[in-house]
Amino acid sequence: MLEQVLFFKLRFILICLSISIFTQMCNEKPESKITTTLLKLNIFSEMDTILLGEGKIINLSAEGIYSQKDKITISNNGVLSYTEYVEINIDTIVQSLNNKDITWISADQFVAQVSNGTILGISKGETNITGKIDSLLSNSIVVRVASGEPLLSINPPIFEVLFQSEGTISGWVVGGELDLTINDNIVNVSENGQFEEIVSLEAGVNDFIVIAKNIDELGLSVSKTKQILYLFFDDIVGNWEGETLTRPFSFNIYKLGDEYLIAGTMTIDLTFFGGEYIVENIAVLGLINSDGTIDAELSLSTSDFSVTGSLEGSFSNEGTAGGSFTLSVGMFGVSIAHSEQWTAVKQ
Amino acid sequence: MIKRIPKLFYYFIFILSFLFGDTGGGKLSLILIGNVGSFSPVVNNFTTIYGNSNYNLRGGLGLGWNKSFFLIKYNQFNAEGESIVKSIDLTGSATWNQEFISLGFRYYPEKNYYSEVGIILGKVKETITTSVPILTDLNTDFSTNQNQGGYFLYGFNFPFILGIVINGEIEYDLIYLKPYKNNRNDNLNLGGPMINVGASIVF
Repeated sequence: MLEQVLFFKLRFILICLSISIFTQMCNEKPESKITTTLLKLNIFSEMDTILLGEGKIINLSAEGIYSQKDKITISNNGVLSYTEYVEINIDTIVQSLNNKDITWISADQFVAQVSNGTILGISKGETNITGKIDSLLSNSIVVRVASGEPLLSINPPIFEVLFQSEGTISGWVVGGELDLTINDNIVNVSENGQFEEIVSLEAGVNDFIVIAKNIDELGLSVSKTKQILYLFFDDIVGNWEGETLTRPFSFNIYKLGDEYLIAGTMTIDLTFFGGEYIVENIAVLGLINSDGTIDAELSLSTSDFSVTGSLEGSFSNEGTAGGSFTLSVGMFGVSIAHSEQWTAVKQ
Repeated sequence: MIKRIPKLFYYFIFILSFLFGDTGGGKLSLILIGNVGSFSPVVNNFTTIYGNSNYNLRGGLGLGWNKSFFLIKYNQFNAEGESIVKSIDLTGSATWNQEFISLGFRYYPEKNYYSEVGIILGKVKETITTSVPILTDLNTDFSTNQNQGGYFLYGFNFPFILGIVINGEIEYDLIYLKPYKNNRNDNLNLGGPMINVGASIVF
């Protein structure tokens, strides 16, 4: 009987010891760790330069350019064995930012104030808005606040040559209650002051007068003008005479089917190894693009030298054209570059 | 505390031999043992990697006086499974080889059942690879000798023929991984519960 009691006690002790072993824990390691670092802070709006009336507001947006480092631990786990290696991937990502996370700065608080990315126009003037996170500064945005007459901006170009019967006039206007007209026709303005109007063109020069006028007793107004030259392709067919910086330059424009070709010759002066050279009869051959721009190739090959290059240009007004060309002249195994402007008048 | 456990078993055996060793002029016997056991080490992730269907093979012999025996047994335990590969779509494989010798004291309070306690000394080796052997960074092994511990079992006898006895045993092993400096596997228990069936014969 005593023996049995002793054995049961012994068994109890061993069972208690074994239970304590079940408390072993396993240390799980993280498999992937991503760290991001803000490299650049960009703030922006729909407009490059913000036009704002007194008491008006406009919201800015912000994005951050981050360097993202993804550290992945690849592991193989046994019960006792463990091995791993670490793979690091570095990427650049762009993420939108919450405006509340940015410290906003207005260079002139008397012109405009900014809070949480919302700009409030205070008084007439110009200021810069900048964002900041920690010590990282963003780009600056110019804000112009209008007072009195409206602020009006026409999108460039102010003078345009078109080979079609319709053109577009667009821009921005800001102020209080106002009317916007183009040649006395009322134009709709969006809530953020943007406007875009399609206008009909007549052959030749078309003048468009854009007027923004306050609807109040004073009726202060501002006006801008845009010119559009409407040319027919057939108007440019024929002989054109002009010049480069130092030499005459002539070409012809032909209609070939639905295409308009430019073909001509050019002469240039070169200084090469201290000597003066005249390179004549450089061939000009190319096309007039559908928007009226010129796109031509330049070439010449002789036993002494070779010339390759390109010529571009446009028709600046009725009966005139201009542009530039770039050449590469190869002589004695040496190549030199040469660029010039050109102009021409239709004969 | 844990590191001192193997010594405790030495003391147990020493004390038990005094308490229960029948040295009163009884019969000297030789016992031969062979059995197979279902073994499930309790170390973390073992069943996840190697499953539950693993068997331990054992053979041994002992000398005794009447109801008491001193035994020496050799155990071999092998298992194959799938290692756990993380962060990459690969299949891992793992092999486990464990050998240990147990020295124990067995006592028969009655003819048809017995209890046994003892110490364990052994070695273990684990090798892990992946399905893409060229990724050598993911291949490794771990081995260590001189792992120590103890065991306790409770057994039943069923007489068979020609003096052969069929045994059934319920056993629990404590086998502590030999501590390695700065090794995360320190103090793991490689033992666990075991259910054995086998045969023995006493001369």
